[in-house]
Amino acid sequence: MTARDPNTAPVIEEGLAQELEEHKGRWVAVDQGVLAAVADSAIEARAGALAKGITDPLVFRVSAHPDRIAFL
Amino acid sequence: MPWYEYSPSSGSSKPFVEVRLWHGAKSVRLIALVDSGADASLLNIQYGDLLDLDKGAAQSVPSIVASGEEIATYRWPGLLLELQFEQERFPFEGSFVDFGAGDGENLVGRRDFFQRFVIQFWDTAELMNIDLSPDYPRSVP
Repeated sequence: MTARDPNTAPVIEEGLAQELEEHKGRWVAVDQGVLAAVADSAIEARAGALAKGITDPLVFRVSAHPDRIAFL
Repeated sequence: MPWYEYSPSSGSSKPFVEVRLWHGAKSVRLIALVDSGADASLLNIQYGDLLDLDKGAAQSVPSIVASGEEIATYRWPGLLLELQFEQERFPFEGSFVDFGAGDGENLVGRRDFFQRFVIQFWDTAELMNIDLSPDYPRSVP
């Protein structure tokens, strides 16, 4: 392994990142790198994923202003 | 566990990691920015909803942010909340904030995440090295 070879892929891959651009400010549930649900709250996003049989999604809010680091 | 790639974010890249927040047997997977400038980890309070934490029982604590602004943060001091990164699970020493309609990202900061791991940022290569601190025994996967 060279120093530039990451052990792990990014948490958000490029394709998903592009998809998330359309959902800024909303909550999403992601399963294995695939967008499973979009909602206005964390609970609703997880519920949307659960309805699709996804029991342990990655849940997060898509930053509406990604260039603005929180609290700076 | 060393090298982790930054994640793309609106034309730039950011050092996000996936962590799991635990309360007892309940947990949720989330992403957070690895922030060496954050004294403490800070998570969106909606993760408390996902873990069935009682907002009415939360302790409100004023916190000063980098801009000098005072914001209300919330903690559940009587509850054991834990973060998990890879195989390592450790107490969450941060707090929660209600962003409301505003914006904000989850942060993992110095009081817990940076206590557990030795972290290097290599911005040019958009990589970070996250390795378990020698203060802690290595768990066998």
